[in-house]
Amino acid sequence: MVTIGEVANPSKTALIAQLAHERAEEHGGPQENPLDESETFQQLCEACRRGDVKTVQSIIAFGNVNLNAVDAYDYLPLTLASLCGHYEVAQLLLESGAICERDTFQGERILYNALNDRIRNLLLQYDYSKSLDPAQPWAAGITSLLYRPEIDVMDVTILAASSSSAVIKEFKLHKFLLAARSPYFQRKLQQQTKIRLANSFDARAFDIAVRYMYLGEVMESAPQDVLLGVEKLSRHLEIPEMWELVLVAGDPRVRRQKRSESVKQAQDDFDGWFKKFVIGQKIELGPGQKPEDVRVDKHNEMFADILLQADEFESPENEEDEANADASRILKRSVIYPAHKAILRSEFFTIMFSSPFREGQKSRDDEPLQVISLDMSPAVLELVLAFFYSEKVEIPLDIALDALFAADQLFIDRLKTRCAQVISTAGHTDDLPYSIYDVIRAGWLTRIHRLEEFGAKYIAERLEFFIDDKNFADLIQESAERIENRQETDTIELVDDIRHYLNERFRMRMEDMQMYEEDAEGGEAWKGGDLNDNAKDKGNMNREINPENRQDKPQLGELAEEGKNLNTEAGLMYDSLLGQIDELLNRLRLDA
Amino acid sequence: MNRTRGKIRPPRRGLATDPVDFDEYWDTLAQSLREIHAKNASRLSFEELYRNAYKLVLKKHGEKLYANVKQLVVEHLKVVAVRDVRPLVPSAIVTGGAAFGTASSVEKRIGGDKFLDRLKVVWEDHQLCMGMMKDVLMYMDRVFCADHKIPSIYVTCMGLFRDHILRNPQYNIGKALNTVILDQIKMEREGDIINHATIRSCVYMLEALYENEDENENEKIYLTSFEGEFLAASGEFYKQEGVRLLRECDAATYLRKTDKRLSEEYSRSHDTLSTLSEPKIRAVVERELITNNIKEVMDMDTGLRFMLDNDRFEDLKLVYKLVARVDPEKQALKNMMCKRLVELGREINKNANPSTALAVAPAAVPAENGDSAKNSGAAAANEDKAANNLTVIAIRWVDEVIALKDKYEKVWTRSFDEDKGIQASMTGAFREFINLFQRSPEYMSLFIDDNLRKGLKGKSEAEVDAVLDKAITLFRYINDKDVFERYYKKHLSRRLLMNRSVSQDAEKQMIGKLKMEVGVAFTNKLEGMFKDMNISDEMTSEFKKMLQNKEGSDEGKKIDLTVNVLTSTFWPMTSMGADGMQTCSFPKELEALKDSFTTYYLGRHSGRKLSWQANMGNADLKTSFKGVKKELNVSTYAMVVLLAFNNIPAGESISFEDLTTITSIPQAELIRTLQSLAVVPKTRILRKNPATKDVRPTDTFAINELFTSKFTRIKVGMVSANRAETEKERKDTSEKVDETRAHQIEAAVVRIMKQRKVLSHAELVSEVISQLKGRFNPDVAMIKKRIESLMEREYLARIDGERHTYKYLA
Repeated sequence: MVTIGEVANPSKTALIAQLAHERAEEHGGPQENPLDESETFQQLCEACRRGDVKTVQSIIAFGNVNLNAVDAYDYLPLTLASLCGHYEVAQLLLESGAICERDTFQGERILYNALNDRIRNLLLQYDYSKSLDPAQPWAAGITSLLYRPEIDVMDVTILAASSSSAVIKEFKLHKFLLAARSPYFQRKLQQQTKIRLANSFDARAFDIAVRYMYLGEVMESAPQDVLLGVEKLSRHLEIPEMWELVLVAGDPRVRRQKRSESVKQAQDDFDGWFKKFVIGQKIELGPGQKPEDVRVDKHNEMFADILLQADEFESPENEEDEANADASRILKRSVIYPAHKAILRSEFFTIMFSSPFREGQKSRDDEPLQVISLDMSPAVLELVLAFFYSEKVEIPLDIALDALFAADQLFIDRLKTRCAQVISTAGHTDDLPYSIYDVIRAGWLTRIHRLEEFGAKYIAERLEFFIDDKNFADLIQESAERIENRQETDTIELVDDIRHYLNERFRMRMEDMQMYEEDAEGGEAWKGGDLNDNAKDKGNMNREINPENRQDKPQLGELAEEGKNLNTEAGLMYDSLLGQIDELLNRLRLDA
Repeated sequence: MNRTRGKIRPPRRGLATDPVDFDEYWDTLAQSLREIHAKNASRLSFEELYRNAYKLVLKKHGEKLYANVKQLVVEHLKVVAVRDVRPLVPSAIVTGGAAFGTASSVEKRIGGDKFLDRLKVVWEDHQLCMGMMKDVLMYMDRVFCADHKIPSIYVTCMGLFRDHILRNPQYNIGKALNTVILDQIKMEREGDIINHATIRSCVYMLEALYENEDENENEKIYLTSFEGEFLAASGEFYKQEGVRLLRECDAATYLRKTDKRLSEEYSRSHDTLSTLSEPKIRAVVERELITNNIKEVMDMDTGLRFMLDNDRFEDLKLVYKLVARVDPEKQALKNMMCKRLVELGREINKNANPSTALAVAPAAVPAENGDSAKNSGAAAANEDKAANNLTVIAIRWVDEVIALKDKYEKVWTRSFDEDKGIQASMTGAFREFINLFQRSPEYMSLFIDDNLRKGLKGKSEAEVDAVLDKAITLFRYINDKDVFERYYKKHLSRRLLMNRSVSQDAEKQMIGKLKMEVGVAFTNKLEGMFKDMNISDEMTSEFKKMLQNKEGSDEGKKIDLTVNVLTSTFWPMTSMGADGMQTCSFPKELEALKDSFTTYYLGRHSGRKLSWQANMGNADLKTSFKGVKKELNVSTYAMVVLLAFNNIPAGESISFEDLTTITSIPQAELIRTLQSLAVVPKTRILRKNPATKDVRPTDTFAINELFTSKFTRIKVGMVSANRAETEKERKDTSEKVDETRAHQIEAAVVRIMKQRKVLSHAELVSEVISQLKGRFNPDVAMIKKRIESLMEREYLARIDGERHTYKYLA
């Protein structure tokens, strides 16, 4: 089942666009930007001109248009948006797979026509080769380590002579990163913190190597002697892929592919390092052992410069025993993970390590590493760390909600989005490992609307089981309170959503019925649900994707079998559920 | 439906629903925040603080947390105000400030400095603590503040500092701060040394605080509370300073001090106060010290006039610099300078006016014909003498004007930054006084004449060029260019005919320059004169050849004739005295030659009339005195007179009357001729009886056999050669000028009307003026007269019913 959220998922649409693009290329198709004269596309272009983000969004989500098509005047939607200076629209288009690639006619045209530098920079950021790669944000984060002045955690200095001048160039780098990327450094750095490269290695060549290891842009053209140096370094540092990447510098398409491969390679490198030195070196505190007892020297084989602690508590068996909740929190286990400040790229950690608080204090060389306790379970912390190190994470559904809170607390926005995605897509069956109430509340607290919608849908599909639950009433009450100074006429968002999905649940069934038998009864029944404007709106949008959805619906099969009887049954059930909601609202003295 | 529902998972504890005991969390948090105030942050765990704040916000205690933090900061600030700041507020300010002024400057400075220093420390502490709290409360800022659209905690706490320290209702700290800063600045202005750094820090503080939490850039406390007071105090200070300086200093010192003040204020706003105030304080100083006083300063005895007269370039530069600050037009400076310039110009004019100048002239000019001066009987001689003096005066006038121009030009380049506006008004001033002086066109022409006749001898080409250029610059100032033309023609004709020109090249150059200045129309007659001369040369030599070829006739061999045939429209005949028949009876050998040339010329150009102008020629005669050979160069008239003596026995004399009869030279000319032959000592070829200075009709003349001279070749000068005009001549000239102008105006009117057919009076007049202004400034009354005259002659007619509109009659 495709949900709304997924359609807007940038990486997926981008991927589709790429596939389409590559297919076109394979077939030698000259039509990279086919002409599209459909009305939808014209609407899209018009919205791009006007800067109407909403319309653009809905067309992208439901319109099934090729964002890289051109109109009768040879304009791409992206060209129009950037020409007219609509930053948000341009960003949306780019995120949704619109291509702006330098060295192509349309790409240069878009860049040339961009209204201002802000938009131009945005376009460059999304340069095709980068935007297609979902790992790009992570790679950019690694690159940014080279230029990250807030916290000084460079722990190794490498000196390289410059062949052109007598100057010795100094590179301040991260041990763990070099070790993760290059087997040579992995061995070498165990002994030294300062490495002087042999004179035969040119500083400019090493500069390229550094950028390669940090996933930066490798220079497109370099003098012959520098290239030779790169080749030599590639062997010396035992990273042959670097030389391969430099070799293909000429052809943009091959380069893109290579580059993508090399990012994947890096992800693997980091993942390997992470598994071996972070997870592999974690310290389980035995019973009675205190974090203070753990002593890790500044010099350690993991090159760690910080220790992170996570605790797990016994969840009380007795669910009724709420009064003693706090007291019954029994520490089950504590785990301490060695980590690297540099890789902890979130605002929370940046501020923490640069603040004048204890965590930001510079410690002496003979002092052991600081232990910082984080308010999350070891499983969640491992997930968070894995996300930081390589982003190669599968978020298990059962900890996704906890991870969501952790990501919110630590300001890791992309992890937050991914957790929400996991919950709202994978969690559609009945075996949701946690209460749907918690999911909705988490959506509210972490400001992820998608979760509220998901929750509403989830409940709507099982409303008959929830309608009498006390907790459900509480939740509705809470939703009502979310609007400050609520007026009597204001709607309750959650109730609206539930009604909407309820309508959807039954409407589909009824429409199917009509296929067998013209029956006006059902039609009448769902008229009531359409009264709400909001719901109608959503209904309209959803209708367009319905045809696909039908096949996924397990209910359809049943419907066909049970036939006519169920039709009436369903209508009655729908009415009774709506009535029950009104009853509930009356009980709560809420008007909606 | 195959769903196995029925069991609903209840909400889990520990997540969203778990109640949190606010007080418990807050107590720990508050304890830590106090530690931050106590500067013990390094012992605190960021993670713990953050987590506590996060929990509170997550559990919907954001509002309470926000309020409590505010309360905590307020309490702290209250303590700070009383404990740290209060004791150092200069006591006099709190009690009313009466005693404050009397404290000695050292006490004031030290006290103030301590106060500022403390405030600075308190502010920096606050900033630091707030920075840390902001970090700890990051989640609250992001989530709670953003959701509820309230200012971040940092902004709010900055506002608290404003309300509880600066604007503390009890202690007036903000006011004290203003007073102390202003006081320190005043001390510095008066020459004390103050601590810039502390003031700067306090100003930073004022700049970082705002009137409200919107943090509008225009509502910095610095701007709202301090700057106004600062500017007012500065205004007052500089007002007094202005008065004092005017009283105590000379102009140059005043200017220097003002300039110094300006640069002081500039650096003060950069290193002590805020650059925001820089333009404003500059405006204050400029207003008080320049705008309000500059006129007075320039009027001082040592003011602008003094500087101009004494070439105080540096001071003038300063004047220019300061005036330019307040007035891009520099009106005051321009006016005053032009006034002085015109004044000097008038002075020069006055000295060059013949009536006043003559009294001085004899002393200054060794009169060439001084001996005739005593004889006041001969009016002509007297006028000539005056005219000769005038030449000297004219040259002096031009020299002085040029010197004046050079001087001001130098001031302009060295002090006024070659300002275009000033140049324009300088030009205006020159124009004004030069045109005020009626004789300027004449004098200028005389100057050029003098230079071309003798002044350029031995000068290099560049020097010649420079002199001529100067003449041209003055020429530009003249409005009545036609008058100048008239004089120039007259002078040029004399130079050409009498071969007085030093260099043909220089003449040509001059014409070329005039041509560049006013165009071909102006110079074509002058060029025509040169052409006549050239053609005449050719013709003369051809004529001679012809005579030589004519075998048998020996008239050509005895007398060498050179003829200049002048086109009468090119040459200023009347001013050369050639308006009637200026002729005489030539001796017969000459008469024959003359006839032969006439025949020759008319043979070549039929339909022309040739009239002989004896008054303009000259002749070389060979003779001997007591056996010594002499060659005499005399005028044609003198030649005729001398040749008359060939026909009588040696030693005999001829009476004046007889000479008149024989030569039939007009009497005035004869008298002048005889004067040069018989009176001037160096060329006394004739002996006059009686030997007086005057020539009277009763005198008799004989050859002076005793004449001696150390030269073989003697030039007998014609009395009254090329001199400035006499009063009478001048009147004639101006009449003639008017006449020519009348024609030019009529021509212009007809030209315009022919093209436009119908035109109103006002438009016509303005068109005429614009057409003619290159040559002279036509007088409106004159134009009116000419129009009337043209109507009489039926070139134009009034249109019936429409007043003041004319139509052209074809």
